[in-house]
Amino acid sequence: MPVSTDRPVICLGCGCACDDLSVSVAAGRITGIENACPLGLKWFRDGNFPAAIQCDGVDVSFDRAITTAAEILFANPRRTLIYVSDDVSCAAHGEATALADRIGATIDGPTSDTVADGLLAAQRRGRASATLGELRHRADVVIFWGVDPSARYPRFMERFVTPQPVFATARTLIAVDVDAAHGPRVCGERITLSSRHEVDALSVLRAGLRERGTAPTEGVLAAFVELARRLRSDAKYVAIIFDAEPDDGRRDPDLPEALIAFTQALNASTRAALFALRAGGNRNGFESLLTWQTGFPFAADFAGGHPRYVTDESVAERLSRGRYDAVLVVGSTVNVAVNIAAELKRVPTVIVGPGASEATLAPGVVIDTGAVGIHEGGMVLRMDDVPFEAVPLLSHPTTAADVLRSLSERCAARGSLRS
Amino acid sequence: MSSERLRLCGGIVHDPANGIDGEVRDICVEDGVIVADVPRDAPRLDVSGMIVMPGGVDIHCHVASAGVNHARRLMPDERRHDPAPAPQFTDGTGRSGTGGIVPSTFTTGYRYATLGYTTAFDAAVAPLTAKVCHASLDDTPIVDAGFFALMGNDEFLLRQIEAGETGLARDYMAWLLGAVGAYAVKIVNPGGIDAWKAGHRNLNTLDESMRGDRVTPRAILDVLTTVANELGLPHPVHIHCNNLGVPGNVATTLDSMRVVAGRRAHFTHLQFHSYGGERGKSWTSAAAEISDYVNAHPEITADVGQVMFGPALTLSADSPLEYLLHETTGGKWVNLDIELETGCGIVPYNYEEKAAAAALQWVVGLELFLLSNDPWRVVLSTDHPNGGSFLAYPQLIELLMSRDARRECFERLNPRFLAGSALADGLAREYTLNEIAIVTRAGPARILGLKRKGHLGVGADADVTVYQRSDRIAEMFSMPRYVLKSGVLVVEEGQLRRAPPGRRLHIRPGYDEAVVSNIRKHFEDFSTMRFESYPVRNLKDRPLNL
Repeated sequence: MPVSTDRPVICLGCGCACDDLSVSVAAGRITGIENACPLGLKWFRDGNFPAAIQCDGVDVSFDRAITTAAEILFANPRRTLIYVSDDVSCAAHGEATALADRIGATIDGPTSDTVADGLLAAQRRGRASATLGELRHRADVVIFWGVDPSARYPRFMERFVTPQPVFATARTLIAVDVDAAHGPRVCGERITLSSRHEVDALSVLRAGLRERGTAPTEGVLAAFVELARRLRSDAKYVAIIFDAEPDDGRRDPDLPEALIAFTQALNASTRAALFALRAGGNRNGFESLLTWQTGFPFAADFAGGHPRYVTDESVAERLSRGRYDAVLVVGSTVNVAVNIAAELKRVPTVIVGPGASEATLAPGVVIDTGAVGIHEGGMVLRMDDVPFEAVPLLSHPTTAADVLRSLSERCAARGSLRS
Repeated sequence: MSSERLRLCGGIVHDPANGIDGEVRDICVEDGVIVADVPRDAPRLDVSGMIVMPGGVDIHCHVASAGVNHARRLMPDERRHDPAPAPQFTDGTGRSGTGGIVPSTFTTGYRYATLGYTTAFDAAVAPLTAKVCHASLDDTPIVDAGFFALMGNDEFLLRQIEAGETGLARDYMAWLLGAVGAYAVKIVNPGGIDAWKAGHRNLNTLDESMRGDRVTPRAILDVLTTVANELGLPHPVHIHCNNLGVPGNVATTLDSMRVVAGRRAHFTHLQFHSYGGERGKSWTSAAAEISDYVNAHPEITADVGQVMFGPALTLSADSPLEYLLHETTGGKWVNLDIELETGCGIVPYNYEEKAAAAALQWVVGLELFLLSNDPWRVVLSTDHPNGGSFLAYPQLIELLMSRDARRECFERLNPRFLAGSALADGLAREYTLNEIAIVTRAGPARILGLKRKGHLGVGADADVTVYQRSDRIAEMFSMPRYVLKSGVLVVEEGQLRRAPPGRRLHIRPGYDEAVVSNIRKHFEDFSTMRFESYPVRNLKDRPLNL
């Protein structure tokens, strides 16, 4: 039978956080989902997640698992990493951060290896952005910068781009095709660009916004001079869309800052907003929570007794040089990057999250929990930081927040590790 | 809630709401509230010779909204210089964090408490993001807190105003307050943010409009103030006027005050709205004109929004204003347009004594304080972090209490815009301790309609601050000797000892259920969120009784 519709089901298969799904459940499983995209179907599975508690592949009691996990994580806590991955609620993020604070560990997540360039650029410069409703209602020009959302954000177009805008009479879609990363086919205009010239093209665009620009008028970048002129004179609300977490890692590290700078500059003559496509799993929720609790959106090292921002190296880099003696993964490991997964096989690891026992990392302690939005409620954030309240559809015996609280209590029983 | 009893003995009590001005008396506490007496064997705390006041009430600050969190994120460098290690409590260890102009949440709660403040309101929350605000407040310990919901550029309301549907506007406002767990209605730059998002720079008068003649700033102010008063809200409407920070904006501010004449309305950070002169030509203080009007109109209340010299962070739903500041500073700038509701802008700023405009702003704020004839209606704020940090309140209190302190600072200022200002001519007034108690706790509590805050009468929340009496005023107000929050001794001998969770202050006014179908239709037509996803659920504290 469909789950009661007075509380919408939230999908975290990508960062769109679609809340218009209709889900049927029977006998403890999801038997049907309407409105979900392929990513959503894959994310929900049939709702039947494992509920194992294991040490080195052997089933153990919860208490035994906590004891072993504490031995691993608290042996040298300043050399412990808490890696917050996907599909847990902000409540679990909060418990993970509290644990890091208590033991003097470092807390970080996928952000460190994916969108850090963009976050750091936004910290240097600020940014001009908006919630996705402004894209849907107001944008009269939409520029897809080297991305077609359909592959990794399947319903993005139908939800935020294709509908008739309320505050604009028409909408022009422009694709900037960067190497093989093309914009949507539906775009009426296209400009082709090599990734080697992306940042240059954005510089040309910025220069072109000035009345007396010094931009080139021929060559591969000439098209951007004309684009800048049109945006300056004709556009009312420009939306620029880029993939902040591209699958292939293709990225000039200066690209996010160049996109930010151009979008900000556009606001001198019109309104403009930059939209960063973000993966699902409530990654934005973790960045937001860590910011309010520590001041930093990722990479907070508590070894000194307070959060310190350690952005000079990514998690993968720190792992590869042996910075950590133990790792606590909080959340699903399905989308953990291959290079990080490889490093985790070399470090004693505790995994607490949905499908933990299915992880292909090295043996260690695994505690399966429910997934937020399937088995647990709690706050989750869309890719534009708009919050939703997830609703549990099915039951699961263990929540990530409870496991983390048990670890904190075990730590408290051992006395302060920080002093 | 503590069931412990406590007798604070022998303090010099300033409880202006109950007519007590520096009398030596005991204050008794039981079950978290003030009581008339406790048994003789109840624990006693000797505060002889110390100053006893209700806990401070911050009527207007920015501490927990999603916008505050974006501001927090924008300033990583200053955090490196202000680490906040975890405090040691009597029953364990607190949480570490970082400070700076916008501290992390736990640190915010701790710092408010060690300043003697026990209640605070975030003054600008986009309802769409209210869940983030509640979650942030859950992590802001000790202080009882709430927030004001931004409605002055709300698409549903603008459409009702255009259609003349005041009844629907009223029911929507009541519904919205309850749906998102807010405490009051906030208006920021009425109509101006909507105009900004539509591609215009701003609205410059109360009669401009970008969507038909009927939807003007004047109409928005009129309808929302009328409705908020009709609903009998404890704090009817909290107004950030059009043209903030612009020379000559006194005309807009006075015009706005006339619009709401005869109805209760609160004008916030009035300092930023009290300038004479002309854009691009001159800039003068208009504090005297504003004060004359406020003094003569008892229905109007205000907080000052004093600027304090040093680093600040401007953070506002007033996105056109923030763009103007970005053009001025040329530095970091965040703009976030929020669908159907409002905007958000952030620009770091530094108020320098040698900068003519900042000097004038400092003077205007102090003039508003010193020319006010009713401290119950013109209360203290720095619009934290816009005019400066809440941590600067003790320095501000010293400026109010000491003419010498003002003069010493005044002599260092850039005098360019100061000729003819009342402060330049010398204002002799010095606030008394009782007046300080009014502008920092009793007044804000009364303006907010908080019957159990801001006083020490029987039945009040046992939020009490005890200061060691000293001639060094700023130092005295920086380091209370004791602070009780709901009867729990959170600060002892100047040290933070306990950090109980704060309570959420919110209301749920009644409304005609018929409006819900209109709101649902509005969501279906325009929102990227389903109607059912919008409300905040499971708040841990019940709404206040209206």
